[in-house]
Formats: sequence, C-alpha cells, structure tokens
Amino acid sequence: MQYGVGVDPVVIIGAIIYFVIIILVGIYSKKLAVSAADYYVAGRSVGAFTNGAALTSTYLSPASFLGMPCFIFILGYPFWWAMVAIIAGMPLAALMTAGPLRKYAPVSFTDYYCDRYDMPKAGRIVAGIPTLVAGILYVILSLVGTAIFMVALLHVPYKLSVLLAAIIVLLYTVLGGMYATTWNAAFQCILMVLAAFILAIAMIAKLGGWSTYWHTILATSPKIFNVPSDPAGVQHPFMAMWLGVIGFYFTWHYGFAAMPYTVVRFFTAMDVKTARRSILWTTILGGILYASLCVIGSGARTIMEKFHPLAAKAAPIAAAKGKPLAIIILVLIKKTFGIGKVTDYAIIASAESVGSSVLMAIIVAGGLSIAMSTVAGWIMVLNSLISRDWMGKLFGSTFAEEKPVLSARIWTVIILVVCGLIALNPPALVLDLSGWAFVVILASIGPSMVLGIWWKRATKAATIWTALLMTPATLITWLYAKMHFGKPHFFFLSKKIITPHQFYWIFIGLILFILISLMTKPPSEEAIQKYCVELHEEE
Amino acid sequence: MMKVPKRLIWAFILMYGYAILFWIVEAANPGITKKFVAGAPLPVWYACIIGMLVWNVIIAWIQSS
Repeated sequence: MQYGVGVDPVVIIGAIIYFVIIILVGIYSKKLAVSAADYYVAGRSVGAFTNGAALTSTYLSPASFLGMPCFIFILGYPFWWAMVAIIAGMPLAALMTAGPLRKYAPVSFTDYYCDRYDMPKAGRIVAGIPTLVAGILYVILSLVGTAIFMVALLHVPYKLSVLLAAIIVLLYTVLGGMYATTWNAAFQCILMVLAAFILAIAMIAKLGGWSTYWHTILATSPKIFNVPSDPAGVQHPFMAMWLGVIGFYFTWHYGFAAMPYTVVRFFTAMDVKTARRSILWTTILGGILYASLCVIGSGARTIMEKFHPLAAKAAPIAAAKGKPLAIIILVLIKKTFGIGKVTDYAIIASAESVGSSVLMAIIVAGGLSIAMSTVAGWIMVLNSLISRDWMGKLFGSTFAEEKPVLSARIWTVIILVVCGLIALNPPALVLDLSGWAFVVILASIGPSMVLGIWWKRATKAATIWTALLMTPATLITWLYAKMHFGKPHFFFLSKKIITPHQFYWIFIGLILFILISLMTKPPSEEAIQKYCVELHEEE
Repeated sequence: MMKVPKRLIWAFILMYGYAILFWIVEAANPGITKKFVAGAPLPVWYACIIGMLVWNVIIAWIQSS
C-alpha cells in the first residue's frame, strides 16, 4: 500500500495477461524469422492496418503517454499544437518518404544513404552515428518509462521492473525479430489508444460531463487556454511568445517522415500502396490517442486536486509554498517512488483520481505497451545498424554476413544489456536528452533523407557536411541552454527567447544542405534516375 | 526541375495554411479560446479535434487519388 492507493488484483491480472500475450507472439513468430529479410523487415509481408498500428505504437514513445498530459496542464492550451503537429507530420510522410522508400525497398536505414549518395562505407557512419546515439537514448528512456508504470501501478521495485522490461522485450525481439515486434506493436497500439480514450471518457464522467468538464478546468486554471497575445498573460513563460508555440510545433513535426524507427517500418509493408495506407491508419489511431491525451492533460490538474488520495496531505504544503496543489501531489508521488521526473506521474495520478481498478488495469497495459513498443522498435533499428551495417558491411565480419539472424540476436542482447544497465540508475541528463535526440536526427540526416528523393542536386558532400556540422551544433547549443539557463527550451544565447530544444537547427540544417549541394559536384545520372525519377513513378 | 506531386504540394499548403490561420485568428482574438469554452458544448478543443479529423480526410484523399 502506497499513499492509500493499493494494487488491486485486477490490475495485476491485467498486467500478467498482457505479458503472456506478447511473449506468446514472440514464441509463435520464431519459426517465421528464418532469413535475414524475415528478421529485419518481416519478409515485407505486413498489411496496412497492422503496419499502421505498429507504426503508431513504435513512433509514440512513453514521453507521449507519461509526459505530454502533464505538459498540457503546465504549459496550457498552446501545447496542444505540439501534439497536433506530431499527427500532422504523418500524412506528409506518406508521400515524402514512405511510398518512395518502400518502392526502393532497402533492408536497413543506412542502405539508402550509401546507395543514393554513392558512399558505400561512409554512408553507414554518417547516418549511423546520430541513429546510434538517438537510439540508445530512446531505449534507455523507454525502459525507464516501462519501469515507472510497473513501480507506480504494480509496486514492483524499480530495478526489478527494469530487468523485467528488458527481459520481456529481449524475449520477443530475439525470438521473432521484426515479425514479433510488428505484431506486438500492433497489439500494443490498440491497448494504448483504448487506455487513453477510456481514461479521457472516465475523467469527463467523473467531473460531471463534457460541458462541466471544461468549465471546471477553466475555474481551476484560469490561464490554461490563454495564447501568447492574451493581455492576461499565459500559464507558463515558455508559451509567452509565439516562437515558443511554433518551436514546440516543429520539434517533433517532421519526425515521422525521417526518424529511423519509423522509416524502417515503411520497408516492412507489402507494397507501396500498403506503405501509404498504413499511414492512414497511423493518423487515425495516433489522432484518437492524442485527442484523448489533450482531454486528459487539460483535466489532469483539476481531477487530481479534487479526487486524488494525496490531495488532503498535499494541500497545506501547496498553500505554504504557493504552488498548485496538483504539482505538490506529483512531487509527493515522485518522492514515494524516487524515480523519473515529477511530470512522469500525471497520467498515473489522473487514473488514480478516477479510482477504478479496471481502469487502472487498462492504464497499466496501455502504459507498458507504449513504452515497450518503442524499445522494441529502436532495438530492431540498432541491431540491424550494428550487426548488418557496421559489422557485416563496414568491417567485413564473415560471422555477421554468414549468420545474419544469429548475429542480430546477439547484438540485440548486447544492446539491451547495455541500455538496461544504464537504465538501472539513469543520469537525469540522459533522460532529458531525448528531446535533443529528435532534433539531431532531423537536422543532421533528415535533409539528405528527404531531399535525396525529391531534389536532383542533393549531393554526397552536403550529406557529409550537414551531418558533421549539425550533430555537434545541436548538442552543444542544447547542452549550453540546459546548463546555463536550466532548460533546453531557451535560445542558447538569450534566456529572453524561447526556442524549444533548439528546434531552429532543423531549418538551418535544411538550408545548409541546399547551399552545400549547390556548391558541390552533382550526383551521378544513375543516382538521379533511380532516386529522383523512378521512385516517383506510380506503380 | 523536380516534378513534385500536386497532392504533396496541396498537403503542405493545407497543413501550414490550417496552422497559420489558427495562429493568426488566435493572435488577433486572444479571448477566443476561452469564449468557446464558456459557450460549451463547443470548447476550444475544436481546434485540435477538427485539425486531426481534417488530416484524416486529407490523408484518405492522398491515398485514394
């Protein structure tokens, strides 16, 4: 029993059923993962709905489920735009990258860079290094996210939670490769969308219905819906200028089109049309999830302050410190479990405030789903990068070339062990860096990914130089803002300007890529014909 | 010049046109978000929900054309 909220047997049974199903899927898919193509891209046999659902749960990390509802009640309505932007980026990916890349049909993320820019070795490094760094950060973050759900809702000790999460993901990724990862991710998507949708409905019902819900929220947080130009001011200084709103919009907006863990899922679709149609499903499922999270985030503070078991204990502390009661409740929960950040507990506390054991079981399954699917998605990118691309293609390892599935399985174990060890005692900075991880990929290798398909003048030199310059530039400015001003959302040269996660580098990277391309030797006619002409032709 | 599909160009125009339109309306009428809340059952959430639905329609159109 922790702060008056115990673990109901229904919640435990729900979690056990969830774990059994995903492990069984792994065991079942083992017999299908025979060749390298089976293991890495599920034999290119996945249908539109399954692929779309898998894309949704893989792309949306535990930060979506744990952090974003809290960001809404802290930052207010303007943060809705960040969530809309993530969904709005999906349709663009259908035509910009999903269709053409499925037509080209590579096996791994770096194959495209090697072939398009005629750099068989350097392409593996240029595209591989930012991918490796971002991937490791995301795996650690997602393992911690999985553990937070187990700790807070099942009361399993933190280190055991990390271990359990790593072992279960390991079981199904090692056994079934991309088959197991895809089917489990599709199943996990349904669970997480249902969890968010049902919680949103339960919160609306708890506060007295749709109309009362919004009026009560406005009464509790009078500035929650204020926009930067409101004379009454905004809820949080980060939303005090439109640049902050627009910055949060663009931080994650293009991710779906260019992040490695989504791009590889375009390769698993049956054909070009299936790849595009899978994005229709992603948009619908992701849309329902984020629409629900907007409702949850808006009402999280209100429902916690009215109904959370810790509200009475937190009230005098909140009054003494002059802080919102909901924040103090989250601080107390965080102190109880001692892991993660205060913002990680908003959705858990909201569900606890509703007070239904069935709902808690659904939230456990949904939370574990969103976190574990991201771990598995990134693991598949990383094992293919290290085993196939680096060990096999770059360093010429005969073991990796002759026994690709076994090699990938060994690397899966190594990656999960390393990330699991870091996740046991994660430095706070590592968890924060996930915001940077998005920007570094989009600024350093995003332009060469998209323009390589759509612009004949996109060159090898521009690909190399953009990656070389943008990777340190994004990291240094992000770290400087974080260390110097306390948050990475301030422009690194001035605290008066809000630039979330130094998002402007995404556009600078794009401009830099174009300029260098115009100044350097054009690509070969063969590359232009293959990537900029043939990939655009309709099947 | 590269031949960019018209449906991709339209997707860009509709996407950013939608966002910019809302930002302009909100910037010019900062109270609009709260007015909609007060006038329930049509809260400000319309922006988010309709935005997502519009995108579903657009993507359906992109896929089918």
